[in-house]
Amino acid sequence: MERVIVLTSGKGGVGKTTTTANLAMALARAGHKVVAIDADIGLRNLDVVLGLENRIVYSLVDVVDGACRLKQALVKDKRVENLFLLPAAQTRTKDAVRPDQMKALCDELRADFDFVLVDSPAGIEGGFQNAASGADEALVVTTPDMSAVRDADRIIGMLESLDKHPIRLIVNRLRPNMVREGNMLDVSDVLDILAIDLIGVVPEDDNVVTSTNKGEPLTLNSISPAARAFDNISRRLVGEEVPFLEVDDMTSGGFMARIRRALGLKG
Amino acid sequence: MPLPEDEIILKSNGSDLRLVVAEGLSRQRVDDELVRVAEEAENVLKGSRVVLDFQGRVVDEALLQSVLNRLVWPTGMRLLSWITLDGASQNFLRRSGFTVGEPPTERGNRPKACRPFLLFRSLRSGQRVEHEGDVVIVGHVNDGAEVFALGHVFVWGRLQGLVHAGYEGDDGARVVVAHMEALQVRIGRRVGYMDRGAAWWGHPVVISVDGESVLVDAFSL
Ligand SMILES: Nc1ncnc2c1ncn2[C@@H]1O[C@H](COP(=O)(O)OP(=O)(O)OP(=O)(O)O)[C@@H](O)[C@H]1O
Ligand SMILES: [Mg+2]
Repeated sequence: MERVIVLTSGKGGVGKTTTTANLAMALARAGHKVVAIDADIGLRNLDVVLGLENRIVYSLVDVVDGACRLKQALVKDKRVENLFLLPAAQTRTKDAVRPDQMKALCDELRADFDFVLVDSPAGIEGGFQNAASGADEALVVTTPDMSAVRDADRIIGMLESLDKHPIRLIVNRLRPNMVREGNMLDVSDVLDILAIDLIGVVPEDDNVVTSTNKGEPLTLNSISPAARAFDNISRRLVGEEVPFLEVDDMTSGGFMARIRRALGLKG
Repeated sequence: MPLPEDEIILKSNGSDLRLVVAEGLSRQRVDDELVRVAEEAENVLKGSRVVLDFQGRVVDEALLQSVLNRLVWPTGMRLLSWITLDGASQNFLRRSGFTVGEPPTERGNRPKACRPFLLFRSLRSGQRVEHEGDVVIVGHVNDGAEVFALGHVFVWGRLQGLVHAGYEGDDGARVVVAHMEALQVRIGRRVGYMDRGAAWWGHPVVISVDGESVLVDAFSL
């Protein structure tokens, strides 16, 4: 049952770290034992979003180098049971951890955790491939604009060839009732192009920014729209059938029908 | 037509052999399978001309080395070419001095006679098909994907990426698309810029060269 899931995107800044932190928190609150790995080596920030930056002693690279044991590097969250962070090192280059080392590390974590979530660097260069090497499944995060979607398409091609399965999509920062700007797509356009299963749509929500600043993922205690969306994604991850309510509020009826069709659900 | 999804299979292709490394095979198992094939098929492979087909898989330095060490050198096969849909891998293999893509048929002194290249899948951004003949894509060609054909190109799905038909200067080549959404199409030496506002946008079209210009005709069956 233990699952290793990499969170990726083609373009940077679309919300991988935000999503990792919120899903990790939501899954832990639901009683699963979760570790979030910050594999964006060199750009430490999952620790900040989770509010655990002051408690870091060792990093992922220390573990791989043998400078400490895996258990020593794990930072335990004090607000919820079952949530741990394996932080990134700040100083090394992106290739400090080799794919085989990453894989061994993830396999070691499988023994103790239900979910291993890997926050990876954007793009298709070495950093991403290393981060993905230990994962079975992938969640691809994109914003609903043409350039992010094209880059996501590229990443999905790579993930398919790396044999990750399933590969599922999160559309983040959807703005409801938005006047259609030139480059913005709606969710059905995105699904048309990427042709993978959708696992959730997260609305643009100012609470995300405040929660990041506070170091408190929204899924810890908020009922804001983004919190609900992340919570729903975490439930779909464990196989619950959660209707796509969050998008009901945002879009017209025809759209829901297409989503349902894309998901193989009935009317 | 459907091939096993999780093994390496050997197919005869006239005088040549084609070794298909299924995309569903995990990277770790590729190494094991290469050893197995090298052992089991050594007699067949020895001295044979072989095309290595990796489908959509990324061929990087490690995989290249593994294939040479486990398969090519131990069996004494003659490596004709490498096939992968991944554009970056194609560049990497060419830089390393290998032939990439379908090999031209060598027999006789006929002009290059290539069978059409048939692909039953969509091409994602960064993936590329190059073929010395006609290309038929039964799937979409996404933005950022590329198709280069010596002859005609048929796209049975949506075209958003780049197509160049008749890439050696054949203005008689055509591009036939079921769902046209590309901003640019190249035929022979011409480049056609497409108009999002045109009546045929999103519909079936035949694209050809007429004198100096690239012509788009809507069609229905
Ligand atoms: N749903 C949302 N609503 C509003 N703001 C958001 C939302 N999701 C993410 N953001 C904001 O977008 C910015 C980028 O998010 P984040 O750091 O999670 O992206 P990333 O993909 O991890 O970036 P990088 O590629 O740099 O690692 C952050 O400031 C974050 O607060
Ligand atoms: Mg990040």
